[in-house]
Amino acid sequence: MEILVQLAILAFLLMVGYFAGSRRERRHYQSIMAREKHLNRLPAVASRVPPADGRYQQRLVVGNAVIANDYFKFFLAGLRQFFGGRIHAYETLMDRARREAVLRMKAEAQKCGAELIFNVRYETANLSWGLNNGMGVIEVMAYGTALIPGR
Amino acid sequence: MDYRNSHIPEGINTAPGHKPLTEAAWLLVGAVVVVILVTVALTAVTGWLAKLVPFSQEKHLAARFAPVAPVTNSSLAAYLDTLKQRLARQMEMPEGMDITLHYVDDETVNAFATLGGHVVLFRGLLEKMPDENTLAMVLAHEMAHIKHRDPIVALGRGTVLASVLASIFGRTPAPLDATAMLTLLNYNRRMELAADAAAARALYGLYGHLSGSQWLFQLFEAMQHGKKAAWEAFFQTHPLNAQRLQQLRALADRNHWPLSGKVTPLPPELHDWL
Repeated sequence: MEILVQLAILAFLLMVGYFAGSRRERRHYQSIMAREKHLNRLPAVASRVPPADGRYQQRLVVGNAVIANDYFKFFLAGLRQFFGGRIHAYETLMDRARREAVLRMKAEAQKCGAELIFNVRYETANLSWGLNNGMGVIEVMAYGTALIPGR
Repeated sequence: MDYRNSHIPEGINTAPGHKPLTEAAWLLVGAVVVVILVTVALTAVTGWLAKLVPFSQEKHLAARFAPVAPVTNSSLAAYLDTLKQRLARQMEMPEGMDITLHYVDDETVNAFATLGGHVVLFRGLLEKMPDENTLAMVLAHEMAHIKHRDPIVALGRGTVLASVLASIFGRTPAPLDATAMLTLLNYNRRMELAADAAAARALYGLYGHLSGSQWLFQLFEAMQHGKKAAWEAFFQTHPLNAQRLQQLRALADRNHWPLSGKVTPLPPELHDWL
């Protein structure tokens, strides 16, 4: 009986996680794609060499995104760790965080009137490290040097 | 220099056609299969190992759990003890495997055998006994469990199951307390049938016929039909009781043991002792 109650709770949490999580993910991707289309004209490159021509003002721009895992993904990934293989559920999570961070960095650069961001770097952190439930909260930070024309 | 970001197509870092529910279902099925296989293997090994534990060690273990008090009424104790000894001779109990009888003043219609050679009889059951033959069948059945080492095997298996459940649901098993020890030992179908067969043999040895052996299952059946839900009765008790009756009849048939005969009455004072 007690086990049935636990299973029911688990099923409920999984259902909430699945429906809420996939709905959020779908909407987030829609938003990411729309903003990417818009911000694509502001290039962000990994090159460490600034363009030699022109006089640019340089400024550090940072974009930071923190995304929480949902219970369904957590459960799925747990099962996946047992058998091995790609954890698709976490790949989208990381993809979203990374793209969101870049978009925020670009938005900041655009606000300053930048033409280019160079020397773009990423940092990631697992904020739930060491927590018992290990549910997973990830942070991706993108930063680079924005080049703003005119001095 | 011309800097440009081209549009990156979707699906390079993710799997666009991924169906999480399908993946979860397959993984779950796989995990359940693995858990079942592991549990079955562990249970089998534990059952086999448990029988290797010496009976003296089992008694030592059971002493920690201090079951209910022994029979207090001296007349009842003497009567039950005599019956027990007569049965023990018939059943050829191994050296050092002594049975301790206990009596519980409660209306529960039950009797059970547990760790350390302890057999517990409830007033409810003794009151329902029509004759000595039936009582002997009950007692012999419980003694057979002990002779077959069923309590310690059941304990081992129960511990395995509890550990598996605990590891799945993320809780450590509760420390085994006295009541759990006494009542949660589940004997499986094979154990019950083996105990019945041994008890029937003892009954025949003692009285020359099997009268009293079948009455018991009819009683169980009548009780359980009243108490349990229909599905429960169907899945658990009904087939087992029918199977037990069938086995007894087959056993009697094969060995040419008469199914009925002259029954030995219970001592008339028994109801005063209870």
